[in-house]
Amino acid sequence: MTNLLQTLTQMLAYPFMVNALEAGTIVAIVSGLIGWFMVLRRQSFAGHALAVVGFPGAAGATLLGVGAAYGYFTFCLAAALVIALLPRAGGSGRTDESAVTGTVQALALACGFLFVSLYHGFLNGIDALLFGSFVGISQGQVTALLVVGACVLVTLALIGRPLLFSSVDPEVAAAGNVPVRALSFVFLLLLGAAVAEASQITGTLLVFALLVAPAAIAQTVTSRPSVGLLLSPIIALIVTWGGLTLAYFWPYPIGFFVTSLAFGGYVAARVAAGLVRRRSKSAW
Amino acid sequence: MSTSQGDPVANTGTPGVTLELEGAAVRLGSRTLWSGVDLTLEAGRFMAVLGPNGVGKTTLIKAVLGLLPFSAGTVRVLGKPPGQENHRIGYLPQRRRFDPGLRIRGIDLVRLGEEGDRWGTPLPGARLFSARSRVREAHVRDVIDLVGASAYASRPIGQVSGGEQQRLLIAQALVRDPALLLLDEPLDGLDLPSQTSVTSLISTICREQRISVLMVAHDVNPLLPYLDSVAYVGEGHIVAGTPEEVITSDTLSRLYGTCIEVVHTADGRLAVLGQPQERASCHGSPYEPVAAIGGS
Amino acid sequence: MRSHGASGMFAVALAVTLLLTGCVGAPTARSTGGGISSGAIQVVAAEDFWGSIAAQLGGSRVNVTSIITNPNTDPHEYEPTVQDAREIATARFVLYNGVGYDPWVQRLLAASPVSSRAVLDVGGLVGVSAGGNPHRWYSPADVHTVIAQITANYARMDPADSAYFHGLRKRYETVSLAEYDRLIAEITSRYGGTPVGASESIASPLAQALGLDLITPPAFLAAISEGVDPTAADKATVDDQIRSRSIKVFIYNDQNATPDVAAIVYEARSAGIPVVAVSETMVPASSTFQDWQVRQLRVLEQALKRATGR
Repeated sequence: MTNLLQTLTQMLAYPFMVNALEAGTIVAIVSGLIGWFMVLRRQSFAGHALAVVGFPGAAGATLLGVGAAYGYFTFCLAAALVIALLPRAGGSGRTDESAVTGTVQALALACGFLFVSLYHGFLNGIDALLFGSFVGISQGQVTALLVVGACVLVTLALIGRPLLFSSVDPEVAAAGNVPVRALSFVFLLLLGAAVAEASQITGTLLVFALLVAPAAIAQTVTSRPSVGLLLSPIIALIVTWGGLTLAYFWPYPIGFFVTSLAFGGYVAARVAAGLVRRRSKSAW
Repeated sequence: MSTSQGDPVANTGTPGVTLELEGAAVRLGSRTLWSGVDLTLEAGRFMAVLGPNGVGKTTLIKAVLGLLPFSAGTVRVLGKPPGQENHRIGYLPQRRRFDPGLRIRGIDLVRLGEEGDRWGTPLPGARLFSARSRVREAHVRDVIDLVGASAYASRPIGQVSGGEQQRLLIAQALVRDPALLLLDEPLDGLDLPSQTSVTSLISTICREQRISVLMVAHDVNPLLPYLDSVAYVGEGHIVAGTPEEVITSDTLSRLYGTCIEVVHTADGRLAVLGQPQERASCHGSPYEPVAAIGGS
Repeated sequence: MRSHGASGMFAVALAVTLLLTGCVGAPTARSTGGGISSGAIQVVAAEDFWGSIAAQLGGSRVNVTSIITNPNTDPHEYEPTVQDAREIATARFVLYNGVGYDPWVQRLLAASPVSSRAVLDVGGLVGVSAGGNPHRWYSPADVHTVIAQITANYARMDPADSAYFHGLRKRYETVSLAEYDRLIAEITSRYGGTPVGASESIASPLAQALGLDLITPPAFLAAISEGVDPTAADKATVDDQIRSRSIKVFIYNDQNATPDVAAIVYEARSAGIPVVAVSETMVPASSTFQDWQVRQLRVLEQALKRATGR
């Protein structure tokens, strides 16, 4: 036990690990909270589409010589705006946008690879863009994540209740003078920001590990919104810290560890829920 | 949100009257749905809105809520133009079936009806710290008791039956102590026993709490024992009044432009019979033929 | 809409934000980096060819770790591991190629800021800017420049052993690199001006140093080196040069042999043109810089002899 403690203390002596844990903490909290609403609103597909669009953003930013983070943020937010402004078939936040977003995703991946090939030099780190990396996170990056994360959380704290209302019951909410369309718009922007943040840890393809799984676990465990909103970021934190610690000791990509923990947690939650249900049925 | 070309003096409407329409009309696109409508709903009365599909029953509800504009006439909802007193209206939209996988409890939904428009985020344990929260929570539970949904209010909304969902949704509509309940086809999809119990519940609430109810329905018969007034929506016009006035062969035939016969059965039920797509009218009506309205 | 309780929510959000900000302030004081106090300078080289030189210039007073050592690793697609990050965090001297060849090093350096750490960017040292040809280790002139700088850095970091380092440098340049220098001079004098072809820009500095006339279109060399497709026109020119046997020898990078390159190699062989393989990193990994280069130079000399008959 003391050996483990010693190794953990050693791990924290490295600034790059501390940066990684700080970045992971911020990203986990933001993803856990935004993801909870995203799963409730059945907008996971949009979330994934935004993540994929982040890839050409990051590649393009590297092409222009600026940090990949700028690319993630601008492209994810721009895409969020586009999706938010698309004409709705009906209802709010729950239309089937898969045809359009699917096409946009394909285009985004193609553009990303185009930028990679246009880069006259050696574009290292394409794996990092897609599957995540955590050993090269600087203090500046952590600060940027914190600033954006704080903005997202403050906004969410202000609109949480009306957003919840318009997510589960849009018609009655609209009648109750809740600005349903405006809230949908704002939420998509928040989602874009959250996706851009998560992509910097897990890579664009594995953003789901932080945005969907913890929220899905929380919603499997409880259907009380306030409890779920507390549980989702906590689960995301466990998954992220666990993933970072495992990746410190074993030389496999961070995205793999985070995704495995998240998925494992989800399976466990579903199995447990199924067992509880079966036991309560047999009690009759 | 509303147009009220009318008497500038009548700004607050008649006291004791929840809803009054004078010469009201609604246009959707270039088509006038109905026009020249006079309708009055007094406080604590139960009115049903009937008619075939597509004639504009839901439109009436939405216009009363101020979600659509009236294109003509004077309309007063709780003494004000439509949309201004919505916090005193409880609304049940049409065909609201929740995704069976939606992970939110019935009681949360009811609570959202009360405080869903307040900025902020629901935090666990808030009730422990705020007396105001405790009072609100007690009220929510009282309303759930009132509709008889206490047994299943803590289950996820997607996992309760249709009738149980409707009870919870009625609780949601009631939680702000509204003066007017707008219910758009709340009995749709329910089995007969559920329809009866839900209607009886609504009627009890209407009487005991003195809440006006405007309810859209398909079949007038289960409602007749409870109704104070009815409104029949036809192509281009709405006829409103007491059941005795409105549900007559004469009135309905004129409204629908086809031969409609109202029959009183031995056990006091009304049978409303219409002949579909018949141009020849019993009374030489100038209206165009429409599909017959159902009735059992 | 009512806004009671919004101030409460705002206060909570603010508190959380301040908490996180508090976490951010702490770590800069914690960074130590630095080598072991026993005296050996911890050196990390991004590539094993520079690492080999650094090790031989430092002898027993340095402890050199190279990151890219596996000949099967494609340096262009290298993803740094936690181990690499740890090594850079604790190094006192980091040595890397630069010129966009290994941008991951910059990221690792930024993630572990250490004030007392010496950093040597070879590209910056020899004056090749981003976008230029990164293969500086194939330029004998640049190699000598780097040797001088490494020794200077060692002497500055460990002044007590300054004489030792200078002695090692003299020995390295006059003895260890003797055969390397001799072969370069011999090839230049005997085969200077011979037209040769190459698969990519790795051969350019070498050809230049040896006085060989590298007539493959430069855009073609750059494209293959960067892993993109060359233009059809350039490809046609290369095929033409092979068919007409305008090039006497064809040099290719066997660690970057795409199917296109393999096809060209086959064509060259079929045309009877001697083909010489050079590698990007040291092969075998346990070799030294000079042994590896000398081996390749000997093969090149044999090929030139066979091709020109001189």
